[in-house]
Amino acid sequence: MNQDVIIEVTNLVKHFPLKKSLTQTLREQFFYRGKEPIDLKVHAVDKVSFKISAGETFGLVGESGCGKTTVGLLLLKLIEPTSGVINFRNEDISQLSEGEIKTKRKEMQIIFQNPYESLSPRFSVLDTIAEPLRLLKIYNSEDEVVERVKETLKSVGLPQTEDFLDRYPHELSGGMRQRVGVARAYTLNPSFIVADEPVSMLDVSIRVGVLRIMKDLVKKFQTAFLFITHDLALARYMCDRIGVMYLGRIVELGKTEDVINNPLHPYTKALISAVPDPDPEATRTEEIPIVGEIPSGLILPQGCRFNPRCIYAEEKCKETDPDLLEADPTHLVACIRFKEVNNLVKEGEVE
Amino acid sequence: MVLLEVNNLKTYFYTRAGIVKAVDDVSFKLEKEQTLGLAGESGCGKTTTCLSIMRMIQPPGKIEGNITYKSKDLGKLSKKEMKDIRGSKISMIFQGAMNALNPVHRVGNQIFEVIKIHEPDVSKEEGYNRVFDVLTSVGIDPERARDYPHQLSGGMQQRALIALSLVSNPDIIMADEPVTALDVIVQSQVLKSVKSLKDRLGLSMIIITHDLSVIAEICDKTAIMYAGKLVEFGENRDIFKEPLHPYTAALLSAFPSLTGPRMELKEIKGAPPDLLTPPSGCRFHPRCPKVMDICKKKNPAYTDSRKDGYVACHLY
Ligand SMILES: Nc1ncnc2c1ncn2[C@@H]1O[C@H](COP(=O)(O)OP(=O)(O)OP(=O)(O)O)[C@@H](O)[C@H]1O
Ligand SMILES: Nc1ncnc2c1ncn2[C@@H]1O[C@H](COP(=O)(O)OP(=O)(O)O)[C@@H](O)[C@H]1O
Ligand code: SF4
Ligand code: SF4
Ligand SMILES: [Mg+2]
Ligand SMILES: [Mg+2]
Repeated sequence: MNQDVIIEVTNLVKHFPLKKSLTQTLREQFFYRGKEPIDLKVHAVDKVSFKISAGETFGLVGESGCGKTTVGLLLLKLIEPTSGVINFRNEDISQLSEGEIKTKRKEMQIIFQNPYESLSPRFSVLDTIAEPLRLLKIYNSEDEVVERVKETLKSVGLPQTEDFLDRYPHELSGGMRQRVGVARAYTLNPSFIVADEPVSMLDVSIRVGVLRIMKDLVKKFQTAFLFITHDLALARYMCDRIGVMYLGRIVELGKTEDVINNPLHPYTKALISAVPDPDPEATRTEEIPIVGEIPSGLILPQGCRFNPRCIYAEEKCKETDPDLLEADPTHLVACIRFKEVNNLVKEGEVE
Repeated sequence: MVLLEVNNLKTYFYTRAGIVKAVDDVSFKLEKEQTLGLAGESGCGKTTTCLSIMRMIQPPGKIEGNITYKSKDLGKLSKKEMKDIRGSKISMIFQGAMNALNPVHRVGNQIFEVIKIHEPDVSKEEGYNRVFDVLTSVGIDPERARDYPHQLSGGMQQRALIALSLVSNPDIIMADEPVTALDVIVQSQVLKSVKSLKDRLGLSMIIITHDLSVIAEICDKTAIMYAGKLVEFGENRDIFKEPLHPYTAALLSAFPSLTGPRMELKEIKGAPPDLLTPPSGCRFHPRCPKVMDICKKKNPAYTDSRKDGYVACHLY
């Protein structure tokens, strides 16, 4: 793999201040009366760090609301981080103003989840794909625009005929629309792309085509690709490395096969054991129980965020909010007990 | 014992744009204590099939064919008789039904109201005991009966709906995409309660899903639909191990898996057809890797190449 790091984030934090309605205030006072005062912010993303190299696909996986989309939007500076560093091609862009970031925009693109909403119904295929070129005024003639659009269409496996260029989104199938979305993201040959659940609205039989195209383009153009998904099997198919998120934190990070075949964090273990297998005769991995439900991002558990649901939790888990520790140099896990949990040391043994 | 038999079901919508053949000559059987998974892509007719069984198709839709429940022809029943069956013998949990719970009433009261519809004379005490029972049976702490729907998580709301569908002691429960909107951990918890329910109560179920892994997990039989047609039907194990119909095979190899070697997924070219103008002959022919001349002209009939099931393809 090309070790050219394109984007690297360090200790990225995003808190959404909460605009409270009266009923909300009342409800909270009613429910949490007598407990310690609560910090009323949504901790959407907390101390998230990772990097993506050229030609590499990094996956963020986790259940809904864990902060995946927020990370994607932060990296593109579509929302402002509360704190943290975003190094994009060796420049910290976290503090850049909207005006300053504009020049970076052609380098970073996003592919949205819903191909039915993300394309403007009043834009033809040509206009949709040409939009970034036109916005940034980087072309010499209309002919050049059309040429660029046709080239991009070819790379996503769509027809390049005049008729197709003139079609509107409602005349396209879901798979075609998403390919147009991919094409638009690639018009300016960006070095970094965020794809947020890009195939979750597509039917199975048309998904594979879109996935394959994204995979090919990442290699061909050596893009740094952030693939956001709640579907672990998809992440396994697409990604070189993945980060598993829980309540705004990355709890485990490593090479895809390592994380999936040898999960170290209790949450990752539970998550993987819950995925149904498309084979009725598959030997079930041992089911890892998980207690209760995801707490809201508003009132975080003390210490390790997973402790109220963790079957391995001990007293000390309520005291420390663990940072990512190295299980080995490429496999990180945010659990203070990961050695005991994975029988890497004997219970009670002192290192 | 065969509980429900669907024979040559055709449900067409006579729209202004033309006839939408949403379900076209579909046949299958459901036996007692069996769970059938009905799978296929969006718009292939899964929901319409189940709504047709319930006789809930509104004009311009029309149903043809035979649906027999316990040797009663449902097509010949009066509106009143059908309504009784719908309310008590066959229950349906609708697609996206999570919003079906009334937000301003406590969950327990809502279930109690449904019990009262079936048994107007039930006492409060007896009724609420039943409420607590059904909630327990789907793995919800009866304490939560006092909660309003928004106080329950998505998975609990889905379970509350299953509880609701259980109060009339139905023979058959049809659930349309019951776990689609749920996260995997919650999904696995709901599937587990469904599994234990069917074992304990001997329920028969039809589960509609586009996710084959859900079927692999909890069903006995699988029916695969494509563009209004049922293309393959049989024992779960057989179908997953050795899919006969090229569409079933394609669908299975388009699913990534978490276990086993990391495999390339196979692309199925093209997209499902518009049911206003389906392709001639076999509806899968424009996308089929094994297409033959006859496929373009002649609609393949059901053949019984499959043990306890069938497949509709000219290869067999
Ligand atoms: N009332 C209606 N009028 C006209 N066409 C209809 C009507 N209801 C359904 N259809 C059409 O019938 C076909 C089958 O629809 P159905 O809702 O059964 O699909 P489905 O398999 O349940 O799909 P999904 O997975 O998206 O829920 C579709 O082409 C749909 O557009
Ligand atoms: N604009 C916002 N204002 C307040 N809270 C938000 C906002 N956007 C996201 N959140 C909250 O941040 C958390 C993470 O959300 P999100 O990044 O969308 O999760 P995911 O993409 O993993 O489903 C959730 O609790 C969500 O409700
Ligand atoms: S730190 Fe403790 S509570 Fe957190 S995951 Fe590890 S064992 Fe569980
Ligand atoms: S009938 Fe022909 S086109 Fe249809 S699935 Fe069989 S081989 Fe393919
Ligand atoms: Mg999201
Ligand atoms: Mg449906």
